Amino acid sequence: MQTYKTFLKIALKNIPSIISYFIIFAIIAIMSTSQSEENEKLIYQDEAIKFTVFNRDGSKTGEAIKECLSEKNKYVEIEDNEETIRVALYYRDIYYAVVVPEGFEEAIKNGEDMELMNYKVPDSAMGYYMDLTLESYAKTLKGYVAAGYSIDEANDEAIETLKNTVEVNLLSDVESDKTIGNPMFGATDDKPSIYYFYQYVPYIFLAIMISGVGPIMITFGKSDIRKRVAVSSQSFKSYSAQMFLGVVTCGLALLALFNILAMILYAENISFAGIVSYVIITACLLAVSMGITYLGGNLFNKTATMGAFSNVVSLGFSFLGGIFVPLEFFGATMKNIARFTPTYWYVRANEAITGIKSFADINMEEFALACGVQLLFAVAFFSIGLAVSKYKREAA
Amino acid sequence: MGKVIEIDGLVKRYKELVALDHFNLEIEEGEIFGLLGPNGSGKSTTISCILGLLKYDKGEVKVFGKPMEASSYESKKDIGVVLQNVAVFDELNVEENIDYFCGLYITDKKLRKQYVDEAIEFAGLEEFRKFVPKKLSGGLLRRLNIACGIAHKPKLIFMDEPTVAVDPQSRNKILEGIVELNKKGATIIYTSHYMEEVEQICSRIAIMDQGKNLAIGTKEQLKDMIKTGETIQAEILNLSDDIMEEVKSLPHVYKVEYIDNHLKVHYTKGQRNLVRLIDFFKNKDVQFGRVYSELPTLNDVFLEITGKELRD
Repeated sequence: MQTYKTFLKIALKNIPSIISYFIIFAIIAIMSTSQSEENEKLIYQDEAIKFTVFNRDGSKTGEAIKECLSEKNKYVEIEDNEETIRVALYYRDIYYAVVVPEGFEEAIKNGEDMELMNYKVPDSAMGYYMDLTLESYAKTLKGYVAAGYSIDEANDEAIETLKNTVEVNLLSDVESDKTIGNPMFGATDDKPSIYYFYQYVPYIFLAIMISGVGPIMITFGKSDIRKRVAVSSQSFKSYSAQMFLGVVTCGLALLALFNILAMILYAENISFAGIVSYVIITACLLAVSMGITYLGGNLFNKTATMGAFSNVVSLGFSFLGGIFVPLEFFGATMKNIARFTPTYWYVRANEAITGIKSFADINMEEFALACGVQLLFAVAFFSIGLAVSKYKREAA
Repeated sequence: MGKVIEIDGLVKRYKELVALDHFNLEIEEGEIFGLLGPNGSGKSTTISCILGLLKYDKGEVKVFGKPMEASSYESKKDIGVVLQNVAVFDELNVEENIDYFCGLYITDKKLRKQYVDEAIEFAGLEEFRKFVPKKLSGGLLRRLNIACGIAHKPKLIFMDEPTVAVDPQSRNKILEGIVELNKKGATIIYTSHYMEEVEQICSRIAIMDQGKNLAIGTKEQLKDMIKTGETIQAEILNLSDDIMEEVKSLPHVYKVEYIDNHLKVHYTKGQRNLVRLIDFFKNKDVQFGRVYSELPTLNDVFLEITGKELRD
């Protein structure tokens, strides 16, 4: 097991760079998870505008206007004095001041037109909003009075009418049944935080495996070292098996690390079925990552080239497969292309197990298909890698 | 002493190019065997075929009396290879590197530790055990390369230009080491561009070119194969054509050159050539400066047999 032990020895010497990747991921995952939690709590809320009302009419309508505006805004008591009002507006102690002129209520009762007066921050959206609200209130009030309501009843009805609001969502689901939300891009849905943690795992698995383990394979694959091993009494089968075992060991360590981290971070929100399912999908993903690493390790001779390969594959598959950009933003052609990436199938597998409480909750057909396709990708990558390795060994 | 390597009628083609053309070779146990040839002469191909790294088209290769193939792992246990390029892991230190390559042959941990220590001592790397290759000088790297190839105490060692780009001190150390390995019983196949090294340490030498074995024997035997027996050079000012013609007619002289006031007289064989030439100069009243005699070198042998310099 000399080759295997040496493989791990070199891997341990690469630990600092792997740890740096891990830390970056952990930060991103935790940040996006907390972002996601905040998004889940976020609802649309009108902005409270600081205002005041000068009821010079001394009427109930003046008080009703104050009550109506206070529903969504903040009333501020200031002295009814022109100078004071201007100073308050200048320092933004208030944004709007309504003046209910003397005789306003009587004018309403008599069906006469009498405008409310106001002071506001010039050209402000808030002032415009308050204008609209007051205009609505006045029209509604006049309507009820004209319909025969007493002034008190009309005020109560007008206040109730304006209380009714339309519920506003920040971003509606385009395809609610297939939405793959992503907090990075502002999508919100009802997916748990752990979904997003696992959503990013493919990028980091690919990056760590290819750039962390790949260089070890390149080291072993150097022409002269290969030659030295080829003339030794260690058989090709044994050598290949030990190399494979080395890659698998590193992969399993990575698998364990991420799943344990997930269990620590989301211990309260994850069921036993969830744990098992996540381990399965990450194991399939790991197989793909190992296959690509094995292929890259046999294809390339320089660590720098492997680094470039790592970036191209991890970022490429992450963008194309729906890791960074949700699939619902893809056109039909892009979606068809995405099917040829293993990450697409990982995303589907992750979808299939989102929020499950028991094994019965899993969309088993979808889950099995997504995992199976990933494994096929892994076999394909390994096979090509093996062919390249054999060719290189014979050419050495 | 038995035969360690037997090559019979080996033919290796790379498409149209014939790299080995019915090549024959036998190497006895305990030899330091020099394999000489210009670039592209087929040395590396020969070694690759012997080691089972290359498939050949025709012929037979036996190592330790057994046919050699890529899967001849039993035979490979007793073979060590020191490659021309330094083949070590940059990530491992001196001790770890030697341990890895030794471990490809020796599974017993205790024995391997002993072998690694001995290889480190042999290569004079005791002070550099924990150094990574990047921290070693060129000479030390070469020594590490050798230590990695011989740590498992092989009976047959291939050394492909082990002293390339090495300072004279390290080169001497390496050559002494090779002789020491040989004294301990290892048979060594040595290739080098440095004739003086081959001449210094090899007991037998083969000269090959264009995939053929042109000559084989001890250095004395090889020197006997060529026409040149001795070359005498003399510093003479303004030598006349008449004298030149008379020198040509002296016994055993087959070639005379006069360049830059230097007379160069090539003799086939014969004795007392120097005395006879000096007497001739005196008799003819030829004024001469420094006169010296040179016996043929392997370079002369190589030049005469292949028609080209080794470094061509």
